[in-house]
Amino acid sequence: MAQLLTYELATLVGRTFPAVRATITEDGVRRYCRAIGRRWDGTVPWSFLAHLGADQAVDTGCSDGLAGRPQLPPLPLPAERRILTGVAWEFGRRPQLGETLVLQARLASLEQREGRRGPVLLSIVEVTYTDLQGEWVATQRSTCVHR
Amino acid sequence: MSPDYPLQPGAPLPTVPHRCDLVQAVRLAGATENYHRIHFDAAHARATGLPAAVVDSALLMAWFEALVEDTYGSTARLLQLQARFRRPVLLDEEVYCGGTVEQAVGIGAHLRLTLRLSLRDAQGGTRAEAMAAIELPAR
Repeated sequence: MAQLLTYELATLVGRTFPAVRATITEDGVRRYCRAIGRRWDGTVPWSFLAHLGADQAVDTGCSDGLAGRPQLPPLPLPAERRILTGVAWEFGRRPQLGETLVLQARLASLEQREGRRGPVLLSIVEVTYTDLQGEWVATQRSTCVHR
Repeated sequence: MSPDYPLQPGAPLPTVPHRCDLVQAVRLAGATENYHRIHFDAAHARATGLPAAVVDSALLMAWFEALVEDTYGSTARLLQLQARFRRPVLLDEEVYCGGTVEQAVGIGAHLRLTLRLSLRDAQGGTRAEAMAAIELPAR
């Protein structure tokens, strides 16, 4: 089996990356609600957090337009294609319009597995959302397959 | 007085049909800054081995969240929502979002529900599965 999980990649596991600050704007939430087909009721949908700060994402350079993550610099993964296979959220208090949150990402795990079409890398990225006072708001864990 | 939303284990949540068309896919790409072409470019999606453009999984999560919030209202507090995406949902494909109450536990003045949710196609095939935990004021 080809070795995708290199020593260089393995050393990134557990590492936290520079935090990103992003503000929840009414315009952004209204546009998001319209896009998901929800009438805006003045609150911030939890699922909006997944895209908070997306305008700060670093270009991944992938030819297919795959978006980067604002909280995570592009990782030197040996594959262009990434498929999100699972997401797990834990929620604290609901964030408010106008609030600035701090997004802190950590590469929680990275492992190589044998897929149907050869070896794949399985990554879990954890993003913690806190307010400017440090109060926890939410945590997202995303599982991706890279091939 | 019986509650107007499902509380007992085994009780079903409403089943809600969804369909994402190209306009919504593009609108979502703009609103979320995710311009991954598999979500709106059918030719590109086919070139990557998919049968057609596929719905962004972010929208599937939004559908699960909406099902819980529309069923239980604003007094319910969402504590957890986790999903596994089994097979892609294609643009213009109708899918059905529903679920059941798996567990109900009283904790002090609150009732904590565990919900099993799913997104199925017209043939009943599972496209995504989810678990949600919510907390409601006890009645």
